Amino acid sequence: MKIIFHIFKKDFRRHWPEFLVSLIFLAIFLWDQPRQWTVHPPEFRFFSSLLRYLPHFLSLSWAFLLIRLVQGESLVGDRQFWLTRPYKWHTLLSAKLLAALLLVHLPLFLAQLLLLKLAFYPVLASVPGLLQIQFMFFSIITLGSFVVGSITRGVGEAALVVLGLFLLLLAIASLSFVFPSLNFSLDDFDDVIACVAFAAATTIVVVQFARRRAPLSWCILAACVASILLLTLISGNPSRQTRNMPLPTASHPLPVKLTFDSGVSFQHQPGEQLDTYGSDPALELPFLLDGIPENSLVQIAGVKLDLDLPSGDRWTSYWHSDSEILVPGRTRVWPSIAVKRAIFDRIRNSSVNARLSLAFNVYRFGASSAIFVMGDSLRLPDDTRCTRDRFSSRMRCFSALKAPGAFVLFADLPNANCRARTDRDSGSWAAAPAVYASLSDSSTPDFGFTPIRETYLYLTRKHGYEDRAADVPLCAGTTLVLARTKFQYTVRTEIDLGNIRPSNYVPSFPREILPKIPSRPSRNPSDTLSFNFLPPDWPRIASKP
Amino acid sequence: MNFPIETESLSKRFGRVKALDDLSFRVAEGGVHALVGPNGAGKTTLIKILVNIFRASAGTATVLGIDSASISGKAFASIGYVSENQQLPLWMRVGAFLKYLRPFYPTWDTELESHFVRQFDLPLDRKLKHLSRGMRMKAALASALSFRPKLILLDEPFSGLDPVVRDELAEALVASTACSTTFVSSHDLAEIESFATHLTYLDSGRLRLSEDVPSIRARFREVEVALDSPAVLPADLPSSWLQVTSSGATLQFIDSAFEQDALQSEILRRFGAIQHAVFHPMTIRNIFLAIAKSARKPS
Repeated sequence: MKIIFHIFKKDFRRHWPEFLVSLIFLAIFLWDQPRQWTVHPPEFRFFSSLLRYLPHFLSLSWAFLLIRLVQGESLVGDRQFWLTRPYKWHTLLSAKLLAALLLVHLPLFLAQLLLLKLAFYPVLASVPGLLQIQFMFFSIITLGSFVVGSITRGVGEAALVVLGLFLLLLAIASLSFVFPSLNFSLDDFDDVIACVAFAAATTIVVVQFARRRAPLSWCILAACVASILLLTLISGNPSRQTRNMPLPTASHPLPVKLTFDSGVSFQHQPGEQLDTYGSDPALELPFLLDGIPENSLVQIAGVKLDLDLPSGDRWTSYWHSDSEILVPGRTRVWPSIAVKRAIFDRIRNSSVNARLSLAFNVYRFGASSAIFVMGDSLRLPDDTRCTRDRFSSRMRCFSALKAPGAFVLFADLPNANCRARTDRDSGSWAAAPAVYASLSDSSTPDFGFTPIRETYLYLTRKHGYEDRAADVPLCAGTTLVLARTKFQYTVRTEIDLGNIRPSNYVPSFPREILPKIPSRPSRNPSDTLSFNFLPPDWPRIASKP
Repeated sequence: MNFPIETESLSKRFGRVKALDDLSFRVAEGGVHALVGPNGAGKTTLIKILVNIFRASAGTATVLGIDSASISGKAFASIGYVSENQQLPLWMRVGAFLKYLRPFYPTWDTELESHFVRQFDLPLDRKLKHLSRGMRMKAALASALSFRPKLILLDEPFSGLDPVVRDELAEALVASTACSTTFVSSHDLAEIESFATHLTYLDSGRLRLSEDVPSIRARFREVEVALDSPAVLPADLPSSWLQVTSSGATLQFIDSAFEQDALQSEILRRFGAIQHAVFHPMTIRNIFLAIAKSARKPS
């Protein structure tokens, strides 16, 4: 133990400038965070722009410090004086870990405690969560830096390795250009990939400290990258994806009834450019919706389009992620899917047989309650506090360690006392209420340097043909209905669209749908409590105010 | 008798290059053992195997009774190693460097450290990176001797040093032989000839000779013989005769197993009557030159 501290003291004497730089960044971060909670810094100010990159500078300063710490007793090469001194490898490793703990983890931990205190969140109760964040930080930054430091001799070499690894990961992430099915991730391999990376990194560090076998360590690193690549490819395997989204059964029925509304299409003027923001036009396919159970919420998790081309070939879009939320009251939905420009140009005005596959995540409502917008603030579960954003109609919500658990908010907004912008055609609002859904329900804290999580809360409501959505205002005094949600199951369906003319389903500019939407009877709100417009028993409110 | 260093059929390959080839030798306790040989002979490779920086491709090496492949941590508390191109922590001051190393060695002798600091005139408050090459070597040597190691391994410690520094280091080494065995490598014999007690000669990874200095000096002679008649060199000359040449009635060679009476009889038997014979003692440098030349061009 004495030697561990002895080596640590030497390292501190050597690397105090790097430590000081990281402390300065951390101090700026500490000063800036509470400022961020109350002020939204204007984008055009140079200093404020720099502050946006502060977490990156902070990460870099810590990584630099950690890499330099490890390279202080370089594990690569055969000329270092310490190789023939009575160092025990575990003592050396312990000394380096102690330095990482005291110079990086401890300052971050103390800073996080201070931020929690400043945000009036319970400090002691948050310690277990903070330790989990510290472990994530260790696995990503500390272990990663130890790996880089232990297989390189100097900062230049380390920078090259970091750049190389970054490019490799970028290449893996870009594989979806070659394998479109990778666009749809089920996330079920994320934990496996994390475990593989953690195991490989730990092995490399131990091998380097105990044996200094750089070639072996490079082989482990290469094997790790290859494994991640393989797992990524397996996770994107189309038949595996389909297997993981079963067809409906008696116990897991299809949560909605969908009918392709072939009578509705976009109206295009002769010679009009199709409204395509990317290079590939996106088809928006109109469906009539019915039968969403009163106690359920449905998320469209994935969309896939298959086309039989006039040439006899088949084209598939593969599964693509979606996040459309369907709540009771919705009558239409427009799943959107991009078609390759080259394919679209060949078939735009042809009649092609199409099949649309949709995957749904089904959630059930749990306990519900009514919450008020008090002035400019709002309280959500898990001690989540929201205040009105000065620069938008949204609410900025803050919570400790992780975003609030799975819930959905409803409100019959806008209404007479809480109006939408004047340019909005309020007469065309859809019948379904405005909604905000947060469906992630992770039990572990979110990784980040600050323990205060920030999320934006905004309710959107469909309008027109329910093909568009707009934010609705959250006025003071408004009551929202909050319902907890619980994931039930995933199910998929395939719908034969028959023969369609693809250009009919690419939005026109200006957006015009035929036939024109029939005007709805105007509503006359009876009071300002928006939830009164909801059916009285849906969702059931635990305690009415 | 103890042997701090022993090797048995030691070989080391770097790809296709054979750096050490079937090396078997022993270093007896005490004294200064010089490992000599031309550049690329395998001296540094051998020493790096002894301190477990390199691993042998075949064979074994034992250092202070421990298999060299297992030498690590605590074992280095008895081994002082200094190398010509060792990377020292250049950011440290000399005093801090010595102070930093102290706790690693249970046998560190601060008085001895002070003695070396005085003897080498080491500036304790100067950073190692600001020292000259010679001063850096002195600091390294002070750090490797102050804990009274049982074995001192030095790899080309005198390379590139001026004669004054060289003598100071040699003096320190000789003084420490009372309780240590010193194994020092050099490609320049003149550097270590004056104080080595034992010589091991490596060439192209092969062991050519390993012997006490007095024994080597006694067994090598430069022989010059004046014969009665012109000498004709037969094919089957004794293998101990190196670099044999004749010019008229004069015969010259180096005898590597010198014994005056036996040699004179052998010359008489092969070349007839001797008019005059001179047996010059050789310097170690000349002996090794002769060995090196004969190894490359067998006579």
